[in-house]
Amino acid sequence: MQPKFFQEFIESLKRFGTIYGPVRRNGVLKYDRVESVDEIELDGERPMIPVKKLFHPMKFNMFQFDKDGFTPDYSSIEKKVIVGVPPCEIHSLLRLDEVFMEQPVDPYYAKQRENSAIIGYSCLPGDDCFCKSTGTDIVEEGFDLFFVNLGEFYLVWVGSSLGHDMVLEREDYFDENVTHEDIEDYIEWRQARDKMFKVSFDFKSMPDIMELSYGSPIWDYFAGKCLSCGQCSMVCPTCNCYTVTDVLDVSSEPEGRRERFWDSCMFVDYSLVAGGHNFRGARADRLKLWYTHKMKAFANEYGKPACIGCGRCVRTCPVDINVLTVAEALTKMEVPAQ
Amino acid sequence: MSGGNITKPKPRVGIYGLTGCAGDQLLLIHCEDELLDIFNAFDIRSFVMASSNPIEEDMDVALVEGSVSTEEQKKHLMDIRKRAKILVAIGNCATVGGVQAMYAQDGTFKDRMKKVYGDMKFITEPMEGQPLDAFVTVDYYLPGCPISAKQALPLLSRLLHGAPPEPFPHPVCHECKLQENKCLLLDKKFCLGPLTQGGCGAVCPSHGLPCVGCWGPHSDANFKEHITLLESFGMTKDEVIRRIRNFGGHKILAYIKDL
Repeated sequence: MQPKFFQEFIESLKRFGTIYGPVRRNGVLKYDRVESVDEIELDGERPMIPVKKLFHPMKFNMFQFDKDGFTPDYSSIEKKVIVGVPPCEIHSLLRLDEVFMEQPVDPYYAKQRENSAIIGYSCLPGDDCFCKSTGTDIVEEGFDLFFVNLGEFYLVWVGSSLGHDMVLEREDYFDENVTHEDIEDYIEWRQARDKMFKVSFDFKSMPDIMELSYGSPIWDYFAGKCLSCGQCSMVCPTCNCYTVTDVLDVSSEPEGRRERFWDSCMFVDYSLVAGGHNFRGARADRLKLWYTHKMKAFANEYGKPACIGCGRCVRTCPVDINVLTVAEALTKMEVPAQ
Repeated sequence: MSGGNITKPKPRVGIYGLTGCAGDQLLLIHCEDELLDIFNAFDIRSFVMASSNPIEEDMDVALVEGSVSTEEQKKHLMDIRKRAKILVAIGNCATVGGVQAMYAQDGTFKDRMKKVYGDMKFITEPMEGQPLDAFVTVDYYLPGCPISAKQALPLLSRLLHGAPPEPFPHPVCHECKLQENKCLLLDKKFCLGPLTQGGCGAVCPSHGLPCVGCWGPHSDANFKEHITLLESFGMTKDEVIRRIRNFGGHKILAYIKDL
């Protein structure tokens, strides 16, 4: 597809749902409802909060209740076309599917998934990206359409029958004849992109290293630094923990709503149970849980580790605790240089 | 509709103010959309900001704002405690001591008092402002300067149904990230978010302003590391401690005593 058709094509997708994509709001790039197609920012910076927020909302009402029972609240669910999802985040949604779509299925997540189309978009690695190390730099599934920006033209992959219907909407914009030269351009682009990665780590060894480092003093070092601000969980595309609270109405009747919002295992009450016992009161235990779950335990349960190499933890942690620094310290068994 | 159930008597409530700006009481009155619900659900016996005819008897719930700053207030608080089944400290002054306690226990109270008031005689003996739990058992804490309706109303409705209010032991950063704010610390800007009890909705950082800590100290905060981080931005340790103490009252002392 020629680049000149891109915006008009996206505009045509309104027929399939409300357009969402990376747009700038108050100076911050966010996945949000798109007011006008030309405000979508695709090449460059990635949104701070990942696309998971459109499927697993940061805060919403699950249901209203009264003395007779409860009524689910699905009002936040709408038909969406999400434009500009990079490969790593498409992988993150596939990981979240493992968690939320397994029996018992989370109806809120499932309905958001069923009602959303994913228009993937290629990207070039930023300074902190390491999706090549985590094997999430290319996608084979999890999208309806995927645009690879090759400069002079877009290579468009069709990933579903819905994606095919979308193409049919503006069939004239797409050229089906892929020449040998086009293929060479694509391969060159991939080779050039692969050389752009500035950071990497030995992801495959991490489950073993995690297992063997369970008692490592490295955890105490990081615990001394950790602010327990929870930002790492909020920005991680695969962190999916939430908490619920019942908010009663100010009324003599037993009625109210159940709120659900993102939580983090970095917070002190995360592993607090009835009776007052806290399984992970110590900061070191909380950090160990986060990293062990991300790089080891998730794989035991679902076959693949949960880190998708987006680098958000690297960009976000105010005291430089992230997948790269933790992996390096555990591998070398020494704390990072100050 | 009561649905044929036995109608329970409305909980009797007293709302009191000691030394503070009365902002927490005012916030309750400002809950205009819920005010009728509040008066329908509770039997508010004493609330001098709303009615000058208080009934001072035993009560189910007492909400007390302000620090204890005179001998007379201390007696008043102890009397409230005797008459109330549940006592809730509301606002920064009642929960930690308030801004009037920013120099808590530094030994200069008498000098400062004299500098401001001279050799004045007082009708009741003044004392360094202290939080309610310095004198009585406090059942629940509603932090904030002032408290927020988003926390106050769920607390009231929980008490109404005999359920314990839910604590929120998370730093301001939690709600800040849920507002999709860029972290000020990443731009090497002063912010007390990680040290501060959340619940405000991260109002200040959402407007590009640093958190100044008005919900009081967050019990799980890593004070040592955060002070080191702020020092690396070019602030002196004394400056950081002074800022932390603004809204830290007496409660902050335990967290910074070894730093």
